Amino acid sequence: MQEEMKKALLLKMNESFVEMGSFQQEKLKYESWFSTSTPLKNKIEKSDSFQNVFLVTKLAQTIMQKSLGVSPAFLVTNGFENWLDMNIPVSEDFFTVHVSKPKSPISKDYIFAINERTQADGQILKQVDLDELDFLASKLMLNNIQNVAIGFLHSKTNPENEKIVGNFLKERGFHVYCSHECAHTDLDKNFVDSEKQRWWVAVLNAYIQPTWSEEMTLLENTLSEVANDKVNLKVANNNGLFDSWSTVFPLETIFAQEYLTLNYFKNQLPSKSKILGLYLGIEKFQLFEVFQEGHQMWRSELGPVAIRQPYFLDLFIQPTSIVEEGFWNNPYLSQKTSGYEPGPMCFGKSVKPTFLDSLYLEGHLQKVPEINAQLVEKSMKRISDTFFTYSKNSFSAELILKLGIQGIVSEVNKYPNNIVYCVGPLAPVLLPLFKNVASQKQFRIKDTDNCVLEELWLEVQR
Amino acid sequence: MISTYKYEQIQLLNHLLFKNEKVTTLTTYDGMPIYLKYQNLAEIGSLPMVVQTTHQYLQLMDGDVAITNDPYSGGTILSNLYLSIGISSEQKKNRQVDLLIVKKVSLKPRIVLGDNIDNEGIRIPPTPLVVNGKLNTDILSAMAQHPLAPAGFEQALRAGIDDIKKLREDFLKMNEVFEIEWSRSFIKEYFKDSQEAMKKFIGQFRSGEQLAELELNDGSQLKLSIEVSDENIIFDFSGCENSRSVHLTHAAALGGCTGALISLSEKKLPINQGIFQCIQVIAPEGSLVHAKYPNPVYFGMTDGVTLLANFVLKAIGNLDKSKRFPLSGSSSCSFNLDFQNGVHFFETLEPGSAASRFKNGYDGLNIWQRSHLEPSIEEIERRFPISIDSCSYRPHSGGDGRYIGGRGVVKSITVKEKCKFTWSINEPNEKPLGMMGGKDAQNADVLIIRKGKEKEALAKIGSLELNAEDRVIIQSAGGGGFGDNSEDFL
Repeated sequence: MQEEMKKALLLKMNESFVEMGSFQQEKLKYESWFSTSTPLKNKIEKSDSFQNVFLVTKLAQTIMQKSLGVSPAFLVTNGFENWLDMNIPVSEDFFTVHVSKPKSPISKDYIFAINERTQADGQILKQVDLDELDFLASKLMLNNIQNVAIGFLHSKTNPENEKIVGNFLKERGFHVYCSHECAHTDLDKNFVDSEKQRWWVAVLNAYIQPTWSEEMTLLENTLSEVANDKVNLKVANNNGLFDSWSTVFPLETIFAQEYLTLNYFKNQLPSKSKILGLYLGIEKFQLFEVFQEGHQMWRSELGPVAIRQPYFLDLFIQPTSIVEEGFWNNPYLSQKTSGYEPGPMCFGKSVKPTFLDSLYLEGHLQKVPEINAQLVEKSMKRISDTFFTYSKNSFSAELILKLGIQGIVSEVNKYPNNIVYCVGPLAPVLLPLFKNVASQKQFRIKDTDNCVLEELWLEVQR
Repeated sequence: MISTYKYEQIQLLNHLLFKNEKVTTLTTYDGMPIYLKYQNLAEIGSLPMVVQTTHQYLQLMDGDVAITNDPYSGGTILSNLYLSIGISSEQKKNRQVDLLIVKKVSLKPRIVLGDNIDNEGIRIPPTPLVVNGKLNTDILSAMAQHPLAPAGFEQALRAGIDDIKKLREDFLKMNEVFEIEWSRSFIKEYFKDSQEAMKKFIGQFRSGEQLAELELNDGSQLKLSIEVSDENIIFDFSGCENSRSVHLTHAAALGGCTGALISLSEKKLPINQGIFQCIQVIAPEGSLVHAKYPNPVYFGMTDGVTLLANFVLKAIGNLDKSKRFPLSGSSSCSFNLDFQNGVHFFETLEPGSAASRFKNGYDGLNIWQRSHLEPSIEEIERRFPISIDSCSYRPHSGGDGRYIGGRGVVKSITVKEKCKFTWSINEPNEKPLGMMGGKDAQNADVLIIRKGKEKEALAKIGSLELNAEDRVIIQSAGGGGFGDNSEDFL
């Protein structure tokens, strides 16, 4: 193996959980922990020498979901300033007077209409006025806006107006995201190019970028400090390739983890066309259609976004699916998840029980090394009492656990493939429980907790 | 108790099964809904009726598929086709069914101004399509060749049949996991417990009786007496007249009343026969809330049921002050452009939603519709000879107040070729009301700017010929405001 490969550090950083791989004594060794309890710096030994860091991260998605970005300016064809906002879907799938929608990442004050128009056949009806742009640039500078997203109608057919505006602003020092440049338009077979999907790519990249930049700089500095030298930090993108974090579009990294997981299933397991892959992680349960070629379009909470997504499914039941009080005065597993801040009740902080808490009460969670260190024994009674308050008829944690397991297996059951390979830290705990459920599927385990890093390592070597 | 655990299994199984469906229901063989997923108000009441009528005329066996779109058999508007498939949950050899799944196949609607439903499109009573595994291609072809069958009819229907067959297979696979036994006694217990839980929800409302009246923009009157007790809620529309333009079926009226009632819950309520046991709708036959054949139903099933739900909310709010809300806009401003080469363009606009006690209303959001995605402007301009000049929120259309009602939407379209423009706005004569000092919102309207001429307001419903370069501007209603900024209120 090349010497520089031995000095590589592999990192998988999600919202709350970190996995690290490094070459120690001629072997690749892995470690994982909750980032909320132990910072990265404390985990990397000063004696480790590394120069190249290969990172797969969900940072872009976290910034988006937790509204941690910075509203960019959005320059849009005159007359369509509200178009993106109008198309943000409602959060509830039922009728309610208490209806809600996800918040748009663009501040209403930062949407600027541009007098331009391109027709469907690409003919330009209205050219961009440079004087108008001059005035606009002054306005943006006055408001300290650095990131600009541009979305014009029919810009994929003829991007000329977007290019003129984009170049004008780049020359004046702005970070510009043009929809015709950053959106993918070679998606699934039914894909029809649409302005909304394209514009969202530009807007979201512009929105995420400032916080992304800040966090990545911090990470790079931390790693350099530990390594006593400037490190070379590269980020995995949605195609499994590596980019410098400073030049990659943040949205190009949101499915890197899933891409690597899918590739792991394809490369490591036999008979790829006959299997499904089930990733049972600390933060996510995901199902992979290993036999599906191509990509689909990302369906975000803001609507469809023109970014390639591999064929996978986030299951309805997730590790931190919240248990709530139901219509018949009993607990049920809701669609909402709590994440790890503050985490499930068994970590001692939260007041809302989750699916993981039912695993804990039934004595399964203690077998998971990554989680065991976080468990608070005193929480067991509190969790039991909480379940009891939801149902005076003692609807137990055992039934909640069974409901969750049935939910996972039934989603898998919809697919025709009979063999399901399970990977991830929770796979050894859940697999025996799957086998107790009536199903035609054969659940098998692939003994690895770190499939993403294993595949990342192979990509690095390629 | 094991039984309530089984009820959660029913919810989870159906939620996962119908994850990718927009409108569907699982019912008993005779049409009592066990689980229902809807997209609009009318469907809440009409979907079970699809099965009830189908069961009345046909005896579906396991795997058999039937179709209907007839509003008087449980359908809604004629461009919505409803497929039913029989399921034998225990896969009995005699193929006798105990359950049915209904699925909607949506085609592009068309507004037709007239007084007979048979002019609105092809009307299909409950008809068998797949019998003993064999597709009846003769019937399918005959329907597809009907002069009023919309474009893409056969293709959409074939795809729908494949989808519903897959749903049946998925149901059987998933039921294997959940091990639910769908015995008559278990289902009866499920409905009974659901009814008891629904009584608790209704018990939160102030008991009593309240009268309400509303005049529609065609001059017809909607009259409602609402009676709330500890056990149930009665919506009595006795005294309602017929309407010139708005006709709802009884099932759609049930859907509107139920939708308005359940919208007052902060959590999602499951829709099944048990909850319907607590709701009674009395609607005189021939009135606008219990239309008879051959009354056309497009306006009733769209704008009509929305304004009915708003009206019911207003009546409940008058009875129980803690449930008072300003009113949202009701009309979805449907319109067609029909070009000479047979190209047909259809669209709607969302009204603004009302403000609440805690926040502003949402701009351009119809709270009674669960499919909010507007079609792509680029795609429309590629496919149709029109140019969309602008589409934005309508300034100052939401009611002012401490919390402002949501703005409506204004859309301006220039046609590039000659065409026929047909539009319809059905709403009350009164504007969307504000509350507690909040101002009323603006109603919807339609304007035309002929090439080289001035802007001209049009009637609420109508049809006229457009020439190339003529422009139409459609403006939807806003939502009512809440509260005022006076010191007393604050």
